[in-house]
Amino acid sequence: MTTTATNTPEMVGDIIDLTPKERLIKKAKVHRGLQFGATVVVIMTILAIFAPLIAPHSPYEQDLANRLVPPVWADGGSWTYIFGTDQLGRDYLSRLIYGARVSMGVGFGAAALGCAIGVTIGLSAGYLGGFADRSASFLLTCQLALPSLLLAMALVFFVGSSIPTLIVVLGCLHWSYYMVVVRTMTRQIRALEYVSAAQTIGSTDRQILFYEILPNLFNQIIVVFSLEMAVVIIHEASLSFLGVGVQPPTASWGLMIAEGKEAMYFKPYLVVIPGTALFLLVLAVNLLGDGIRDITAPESRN
Amino acid sequence: MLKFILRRLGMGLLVALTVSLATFLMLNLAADPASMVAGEDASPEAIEQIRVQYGFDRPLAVRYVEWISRVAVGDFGDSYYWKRPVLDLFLERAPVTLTLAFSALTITVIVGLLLGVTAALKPNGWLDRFALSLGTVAQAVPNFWLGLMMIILLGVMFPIFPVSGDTSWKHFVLPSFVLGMSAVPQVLRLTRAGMIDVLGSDYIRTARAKGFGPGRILFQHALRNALLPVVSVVAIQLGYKLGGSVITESVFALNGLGRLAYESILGADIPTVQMLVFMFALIFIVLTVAGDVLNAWLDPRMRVE
Amino acid sequence: MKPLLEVKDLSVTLKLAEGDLTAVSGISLSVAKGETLGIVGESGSGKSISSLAVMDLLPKGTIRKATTMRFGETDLLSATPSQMASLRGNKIAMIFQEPMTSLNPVYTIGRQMTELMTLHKGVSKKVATDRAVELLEKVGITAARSRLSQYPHQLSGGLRQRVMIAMMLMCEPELIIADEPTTALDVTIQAQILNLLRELQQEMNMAMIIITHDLGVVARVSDKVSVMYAGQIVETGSVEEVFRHPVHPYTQGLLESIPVSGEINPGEELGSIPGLVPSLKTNFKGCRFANRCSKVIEICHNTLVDLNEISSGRLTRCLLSEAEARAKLKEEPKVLSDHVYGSRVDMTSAPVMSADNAQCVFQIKPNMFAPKKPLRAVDNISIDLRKGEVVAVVGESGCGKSTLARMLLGLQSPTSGTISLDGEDVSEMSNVEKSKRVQSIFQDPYSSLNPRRTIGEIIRRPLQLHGSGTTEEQKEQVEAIMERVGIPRRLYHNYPNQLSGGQRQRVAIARALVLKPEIVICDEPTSALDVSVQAQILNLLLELRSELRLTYLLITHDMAVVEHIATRVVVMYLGRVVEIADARDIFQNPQHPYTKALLSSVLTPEPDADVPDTQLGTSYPNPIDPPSGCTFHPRCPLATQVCKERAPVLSKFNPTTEVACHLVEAAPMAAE
Repeated sequence: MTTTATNTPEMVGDIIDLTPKERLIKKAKVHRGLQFGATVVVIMTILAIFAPLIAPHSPYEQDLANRLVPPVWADGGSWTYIFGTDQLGRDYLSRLIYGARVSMGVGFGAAALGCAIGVTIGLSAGYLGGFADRSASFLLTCQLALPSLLLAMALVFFVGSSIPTLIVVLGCLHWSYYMVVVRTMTRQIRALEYVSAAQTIGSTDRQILFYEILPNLFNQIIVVFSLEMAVVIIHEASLSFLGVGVQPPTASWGLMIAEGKEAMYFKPYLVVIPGTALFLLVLAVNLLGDGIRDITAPESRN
Repeated sequence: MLKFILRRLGMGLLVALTVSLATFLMLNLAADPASMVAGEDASPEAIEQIRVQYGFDRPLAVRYVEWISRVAVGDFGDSYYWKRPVLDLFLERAPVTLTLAFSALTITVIVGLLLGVTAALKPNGWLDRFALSLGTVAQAVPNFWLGLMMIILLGVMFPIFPVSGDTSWKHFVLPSFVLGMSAVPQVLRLTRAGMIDVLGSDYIRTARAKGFGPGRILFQHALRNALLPVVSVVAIQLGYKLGGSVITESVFALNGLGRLAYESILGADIPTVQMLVFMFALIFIVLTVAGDVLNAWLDPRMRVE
Repeated sequence: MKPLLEVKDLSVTLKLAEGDLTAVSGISLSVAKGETLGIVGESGSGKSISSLAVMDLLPKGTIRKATTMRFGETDLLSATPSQMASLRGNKIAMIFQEPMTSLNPVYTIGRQMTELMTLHKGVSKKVATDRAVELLEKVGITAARSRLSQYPHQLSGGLRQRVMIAMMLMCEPELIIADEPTTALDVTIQAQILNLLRELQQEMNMAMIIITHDLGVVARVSDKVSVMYAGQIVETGSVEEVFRHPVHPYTQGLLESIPVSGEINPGEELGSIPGLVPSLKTNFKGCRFANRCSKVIEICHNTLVDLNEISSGRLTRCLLSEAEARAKLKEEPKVLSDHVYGSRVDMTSAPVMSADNAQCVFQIKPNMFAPKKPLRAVDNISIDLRKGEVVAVVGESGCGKSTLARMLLGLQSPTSGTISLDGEDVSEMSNVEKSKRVQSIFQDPYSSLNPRRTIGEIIRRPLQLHGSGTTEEQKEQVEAIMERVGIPRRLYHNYPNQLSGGQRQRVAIARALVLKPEIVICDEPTSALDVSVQAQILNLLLELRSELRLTYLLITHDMAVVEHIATRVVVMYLGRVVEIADARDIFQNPQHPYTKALLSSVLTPEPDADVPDTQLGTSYPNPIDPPSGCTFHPRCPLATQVCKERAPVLSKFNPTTEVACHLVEAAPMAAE
């Protein structure tokens, strides 16, 4: 092949933008919410995984002589029990650290299960269209109509509460958001010309789904994953608070709040500390999700 | 239009049926109803006897058809726990929950819309930042914990409002606020996004080119377009408030449907739980249809020529 | 005479997160009563921002500076917001590009029209309503009074733009600013709207500013013209002067990029401007056009250039003397397509691709409440494509040409009829088999490349799917084709978002050609690109055609492009073919009234020509509800009773031409 001079390539120095990865990093560097969220989530994950190594005491060991010791900053507090002890004399900090395991574990597990269900339904509905799409929409309407918290309570309680039960029940009730997002995105991408181009160069449906469409959904799925994980964490805590979730003596933040409720008028820290931990984690996960959405949002062409 | 409403209602009925089937199956498969009625210490013989007596030995399909055909004529069966018709229980408790749900929704709509609209007027201004931060915080606060904090703060430290019971309007202030706040982030974000979208649209530019002042543009040209999507969300949120009442009512000891649900779950009272799940779903479905119809009525693009 | 609007040294700076961007720097404009000023420039040249600056409609956080800005007796720089508001819509009116989105969807036409007048003139609703009816009639809308209660979504694009114009005339403005008023419309509608604007302007003695990228529009409607490039005016003068004797190299390049009817020979190279518009974030030290200029000299790169007056009212921003700048650099245009290939197509040979009575019917719900109705997007079309041809399918939007392309590509299966390749039915072929023979280039280079894949991956993908050769061999092939289509090799690992529109289209071409197909189906390959880049791509397509012995099927609405590269033309209207003929015949001797109208609506940049009167009825019919008989009859100036009753069939007019028209049927060969 020869190059003729009539086709002067557009000038050298013609790269008009950063690579997608460089752009992400550049935006992440100035996104405070994302940085805060990511830091807290990483710390909580480390606490959850290495709880036995980090916790200063056993979370279950009762010491009736040291009941309701206030936290270190209050009168009568000591560095032995930084966050004090509960009604049974258990170290509150250690229970808090172990509680992170339940929140993170249930949150991650249920969000992952919901993700698997929602993405599968959403992809098939969005790509196949027609009957598959209509069935999926119907399923979605039904799912949205069900009072999920109430149903989760009943199911977890009837089956018998355990962490796997919580994960399965909450996961099965939280797929709709993934499905809606994935379905809409798939439909949009399917109508784009690069999918038509993929067809004309001989790609099969499978190849189009996995090579052209799915990689373009990753960012959105991660965003939904974190937002849903936050919701699931709150739901687990709510169930445990109502006594139908994690059962004593396991440490769960929701359960700790429920146990502390009896004494909250004169020992508010029993409720404030686990509640703050819960709030911080959910806030961080949300900020992480919002942050990822912000930095991956496409910029307008102009 | 009538045809549209009828079709929507037909669809809603189909959804209701599916939901009822799903609920029935899930609840009856999650546990053995006979042993739940019999209690923890019952002997196997006693359980068997109850199984036959209550008809739990028959196939699920038969029991579902029997249940749903009774529901169709308004008979939800008797509660195992309270030994009364569950519909009576429902009607008895409904007023408290409806009061709670409507007042919470009012708070959601007022706070969410106001903040959403003002935030959108100056994206990235201080009000916008404030509104968005408030949204993020409200989204992260667990409802039950916010309730407890409110009790400590406004019930005990500064005893302004009563913390439990449902005898006066004052009793509803804290629970409505707590339940209302939970939906503020959604309404706020949706309003803000819709408003920003509309304010940047071509027809608002046209309105500015026509020489209208900012107030007239906002109230006459932007608001109506921006609020269209909010309408259906508000309808849906009312449905969610009912479900959310479980937590709020138990924190504030309100004797409504949420509390009934909680008690019947702990009492393993399948007929009551079943009825409540179904009723909440039904209310939700009716609200969605109403939202759709309202939307179709407000938006000329969806009206028939 | 003192001009009505006078702007001097206007600069507009946008505050962006990444820093300031000066979108407009130091432009001066003036327009007098009864005069029309055209502002022409490519996308990003700052032409729209300038008009928004005059109206004080710039987005928040934008800085506007000028030494003078005067409208009539009002100083626009010191006017309060409420003073500005009382001018807008009242004394200065503005018409925007997008008729589909520029009217508020929730209010009736009547309300939107009358509120303008009741606001500014304080008249009663009744008076305003009467005025609205009068104006709607004036802009050619029938049953005007009943239209007042309609909503915008009930009208077609052309009608909405008429409503927009009528609305803006409610208060009898003194100045009307039209920003790309016809860009979103079909050619036949475009001519009507331009005519309307001109008539109204003359009748009401208004001043008009028309902003567009289309040199043809400017040439035909304005009195004077300013050419903008990268935020500056590079040349100003009377239309006659600027178009006949352009001085600035950019203006010259632009004019050469346009295929002018009658002046070009098929297959000849078009003039084009190499390179890209510089980013406005650049801190310019020299002439902004220097990096693309064919006449550039050393000092251009480091001397800031002012606008110099070369004769009265004639200014240009160039360091070269007028004579130097005008000196012809270019030799005779080169013929890009080897004329032997393609010009002598053996019409008796077996077609390489054909559609046989192909039909595509969609079931559409016209609105949420109505039952489904069939929409015949493509209605019984038969086309043969022979080796070496460039067949152009032309028609307005909604005529089914894109659906036809999708069917030929196998992306849409025909409801009935067959598509075949070398006589084989494609519905029995695998995707891979098909893709070896037929490839495609799509319209929008922004959506035709997967944003998550690198340029190299995108071009290599077809080879990967076909499993041809080792990875190394594939990479070599990719690099060879990249070089051929003019993408530097070092962009292999870059992503589509890092490339300009023209470069992306080159990537799409490379992807289509890497499999060495026989047939390439191009769906509006240049319509999303700027004029100067459009010429680069057309030139490339022509070169590749004879080099690789390709057969093209080109879908387009641009008749100038068709004349430039097509050998045969298929004219479509509402899903049917109305005329098929050799390209030369179509342009020299069109038969079907629709073809004639289409050709006469083409606006070539001829300054002394008027906007043609197409004599077509106002609106394109709704494809869901096609008219009876000949579907063209409601718009046809020659329609007779038989046209309303019976649909004409496509029949041979002469050995190379087929026409579907009762009137042509009646008198065969008469037109010769």
